[in-house]
Amino acid sequence: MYERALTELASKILGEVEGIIGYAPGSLPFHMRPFLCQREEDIACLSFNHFARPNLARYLLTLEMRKKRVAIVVKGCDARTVIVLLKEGQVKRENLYLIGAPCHGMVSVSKLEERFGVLSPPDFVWEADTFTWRGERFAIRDFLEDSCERCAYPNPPWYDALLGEELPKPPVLPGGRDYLGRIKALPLEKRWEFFAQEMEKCIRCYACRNSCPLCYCTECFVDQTRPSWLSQAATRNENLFFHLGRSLHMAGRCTECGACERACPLGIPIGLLPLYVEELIREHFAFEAGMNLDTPAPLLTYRENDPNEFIR
Amino acid sequence: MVELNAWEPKIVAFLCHWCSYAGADLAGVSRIQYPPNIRIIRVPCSGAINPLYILKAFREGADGVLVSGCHPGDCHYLSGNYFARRKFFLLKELLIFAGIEEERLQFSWVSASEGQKFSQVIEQVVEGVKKIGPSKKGLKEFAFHV
Amino acid sequence: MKGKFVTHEQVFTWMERERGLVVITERAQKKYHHLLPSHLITVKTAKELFFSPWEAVYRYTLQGKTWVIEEKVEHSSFPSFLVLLPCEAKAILEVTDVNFMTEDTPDLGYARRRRGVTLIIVGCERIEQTCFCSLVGCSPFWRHRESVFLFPWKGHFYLEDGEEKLSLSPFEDPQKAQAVETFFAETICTLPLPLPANFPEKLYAHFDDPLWQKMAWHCVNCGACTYLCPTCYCFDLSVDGKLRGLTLHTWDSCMFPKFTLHASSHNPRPTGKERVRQRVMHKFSYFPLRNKYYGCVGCGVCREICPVNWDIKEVVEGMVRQVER
Repeated sequence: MYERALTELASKILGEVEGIIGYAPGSLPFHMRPFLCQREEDIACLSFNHFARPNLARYLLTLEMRKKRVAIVVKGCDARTVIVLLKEGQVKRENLYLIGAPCHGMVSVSKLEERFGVLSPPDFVWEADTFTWRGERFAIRDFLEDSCERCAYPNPPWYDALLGEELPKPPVLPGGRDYLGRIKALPLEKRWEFFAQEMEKCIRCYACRNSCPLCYCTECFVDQTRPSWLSQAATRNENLFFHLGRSLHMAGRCTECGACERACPLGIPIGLLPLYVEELIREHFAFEAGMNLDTPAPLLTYRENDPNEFIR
Repeated sequence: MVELNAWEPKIVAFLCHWCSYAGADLAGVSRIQYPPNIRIIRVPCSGAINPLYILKAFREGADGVLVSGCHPGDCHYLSGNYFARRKFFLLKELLIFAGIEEERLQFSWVSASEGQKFSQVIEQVVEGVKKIGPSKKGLKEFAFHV
Repeated sequence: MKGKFVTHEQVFTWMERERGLVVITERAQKKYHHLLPSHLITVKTAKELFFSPWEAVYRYTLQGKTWVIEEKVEHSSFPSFLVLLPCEAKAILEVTDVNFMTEDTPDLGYARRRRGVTLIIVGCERIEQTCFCSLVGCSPFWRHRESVFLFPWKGHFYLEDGEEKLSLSPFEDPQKAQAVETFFAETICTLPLPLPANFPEKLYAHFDDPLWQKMAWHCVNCGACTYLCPTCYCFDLSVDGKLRGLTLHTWDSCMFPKFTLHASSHNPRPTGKERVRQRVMHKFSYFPLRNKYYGCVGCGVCREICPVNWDIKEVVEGMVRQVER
């Protein structure tokens, strides 16, 4: 997808920028990997498809990238992350060239496996909204990652160049946007049971934290020793502490890209907690992260009529 | 006489120096009675409370946490409690979402002249926590019995 | 002829009977759910049974002016049998055992849990696309004299060393056993060749290769690969509690910035490049130079779960080309 537009654009801008952070086919089928294109001959490697899962904004924060002027391929959610980074002064606008990629959603390999068993790449022919498997046609939307099922912004809100054309707002998928509703509908004890069970699985590999472009603290609170917030032992409650703490650090910043959830090697729906915080912020503080540079971050401002009923 | 078997909740109270701590002081000098279950931690402003402090208090064995500051508009630092209120709202809702009882974490605005209110708040908090029993959720598992 | 045969029912009933004592790894369960009982206790990785994700080593309390330290000894019962795939077994027998069960200073917790556990290796019928066991001296049919070996073969299980260890009563069929052996030998011939014999030495000399920078570029430095790796055995000792508390023995990962942070605040592995290099060098150079086996068993779990498709096989093959150049 977008290969032609991508190569044309890349060869045009490669002199202006020192590198292009994009996607290239990975070593395994149905995997794309982050790729840094710095030379003419690398341009052919750049591509984009339904498996370009990682959020590339993370790579803007590596030491060598901070000093350079780079172009970056961004999906809707990734572009929002870049805007948050700009707002927080982590990257400089003049060092960035945003290549927007309107996104049809990322396809979940596990959902494909569930449906088709052992996957073989030649069986599949991919198009923008549909794919065929051994000649039979399927809709992409039935196989989307959870994070993409609830996506409301397929188009980057801000870009310097756009690959292809802007997409219409995605339809609400059954159960997609209601991801949190399922949990909210449960009674308190059931919710605890659910989270306790999920937290039990967590091994604290920090794949969620490290895949998140907005988790850029030089020292994460879990690593601090003075004071030490929590121990290294991956027990249920300590894990919950980590995920609660992380969600609160993300408050008003999380752009719901789902990188954390897709990164989790144990398939824990860790996105739930930050997503719920974002929902509260949308509802009560009328703010959505990464939509523009001007609105102040919700926790750096206040209104006199903020919710107060919960305080005695 | 204290009944040995009766469980008494441990409650950590973060009180802002300018209002609630002074309110607690007033309750003391006015000899107003309130349950002895709270352990007070004085902080400069409710806005200085990192949500991690609260989570940490639970982890270290608090059965309940009370955070108290100046009434909106009365902050010694002008707007610290307004900022705090947003953080507290998110934390409280998030904990409830994660299945932690709402009585565990409570907030109040108590001014320096409200000794009576302070004692009432403590009574309500202790009563609420007693109703739901000792904390298990969020407590570090290996602290005391491993 | 060493191998004998048992029926599926024999193995199934044996496992049903010993259910409380048998643990199976998730990967083995996934592969053989149709042949083995479905409700056995499962573990994510084999190593976590012996090398716990966390355990308390000491309890300390300050009494008056003296510190009182008590050793923590667990009394929980552990399984007697662990069903696992060949690569996972190799990881236990030739990597973690070698590291933790040294004669002079064994890791007591590990040794206590490891002793008395019989490994039941179930050979692989099918090779996944992430597998690369033949590169590092393992194979889909890797066996070990101390363990039981099972392999599904035409409606039966081919069995080695299981007669006494599991007290099963197998039947002999030399002709069929010969066929199995031939099948093993033939399949192994079709697999990719092992890494060059002197690769560890050569890799050692390429410590400063500029290629590391390029290879490490897209790694996000999370610990998913190391924590789910069957051979990674690094751990940390930390204390929790001030006047009384515990010394905790927890998993650690060379991918984390704090892993090598000195008290002086100097960090000899400051960036991702050094950490990734350490991970590869440890498995493919330092460990084999010391212990003759590779510190990687080619199970491919890390390739499968990596959030950014950082691929150890690709990196190693790249380094093979680099050192041969």
